[in-house]
Amino acid sequence: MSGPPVPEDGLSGYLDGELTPAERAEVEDRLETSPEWRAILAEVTEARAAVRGLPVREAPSGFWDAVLSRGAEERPVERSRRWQVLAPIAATAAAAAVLVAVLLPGRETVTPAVPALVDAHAAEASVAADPISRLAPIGVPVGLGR
Amino acid sequence: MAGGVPSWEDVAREHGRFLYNVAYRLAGNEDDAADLVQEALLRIRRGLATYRPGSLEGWLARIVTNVFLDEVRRRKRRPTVALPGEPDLVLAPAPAADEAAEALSDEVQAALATLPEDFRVAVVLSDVADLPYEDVAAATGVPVGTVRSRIHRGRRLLRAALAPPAPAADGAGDGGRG
Repeated sequence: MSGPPVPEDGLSGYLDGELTPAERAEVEDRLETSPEWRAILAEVTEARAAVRGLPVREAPSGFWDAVLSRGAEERPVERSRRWQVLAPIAATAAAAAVLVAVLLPGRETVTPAVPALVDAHAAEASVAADPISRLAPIGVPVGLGR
Repeated sequence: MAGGVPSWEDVAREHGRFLYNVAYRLAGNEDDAADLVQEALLRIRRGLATYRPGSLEGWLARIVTNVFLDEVRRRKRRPTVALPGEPDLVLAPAPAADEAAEALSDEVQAALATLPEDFRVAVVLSDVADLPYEDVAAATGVPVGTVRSRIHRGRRLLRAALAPPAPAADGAGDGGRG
């Protein structure tokens, strides 16, 4: 046997049939004498079996039809969650509007047009700063089962 | 699939199931998996002109892995806030299954989602996509030795995530550790 000893990750290589014959023999020798290596081999064997035992995950119904029907159009696909980008912007705009309404002196009644402010700010921000949301007007969501 | 190079539609029809399954196991939820697959298919379409017949699934796995890692980097640079009730982003476990038979696979999927991305990619490409280490190395751009290390460490972390160490109840161990 020559070369450096097989490291512990050789146990996964052993399971996957990725060792040379010499490495394999070395791992088998080590397994005979090392309870620690046997315990680690049992661990990685279980983990490997658990992942390999996962069922094939199928796409949601209608997904492939939608993808194939879009095939002729080469355009970026709309991200399904642009609101996650817009939410902080909208929340900031709403908070600012409320703050202004509360702090403005000399007004007995203030009725800020919060929804309009939020919409205007979000729309402006999405066009000016967010390349994903810029796609929103042209994007057609593929049925993702949301 | 004339001439050895598949068309975009061939890839979607014949390997879409493979692509989606790998994407789902990497991303951990349907929405992100769908996004990854669609972006991967756009890149596949652009790349088919330069594709050389060989390990097609290895090539597809490389593309979907790159899309996944690009997305992880993008989200780390630019964290977003999920709407209430939406599944968490890439690092999230799968949504709750409604069938008891899926409980175990959901548990494994959730454990996969706890792995660092590099380890998760290596484990998924090896144990879900069933690629040899050499193809995993090509897909991830690291040496085969690094692939072996990531797979091994990923499996150990996964095993720990599946069965957190129980408190010593009777003092009896296997006597083999240490």
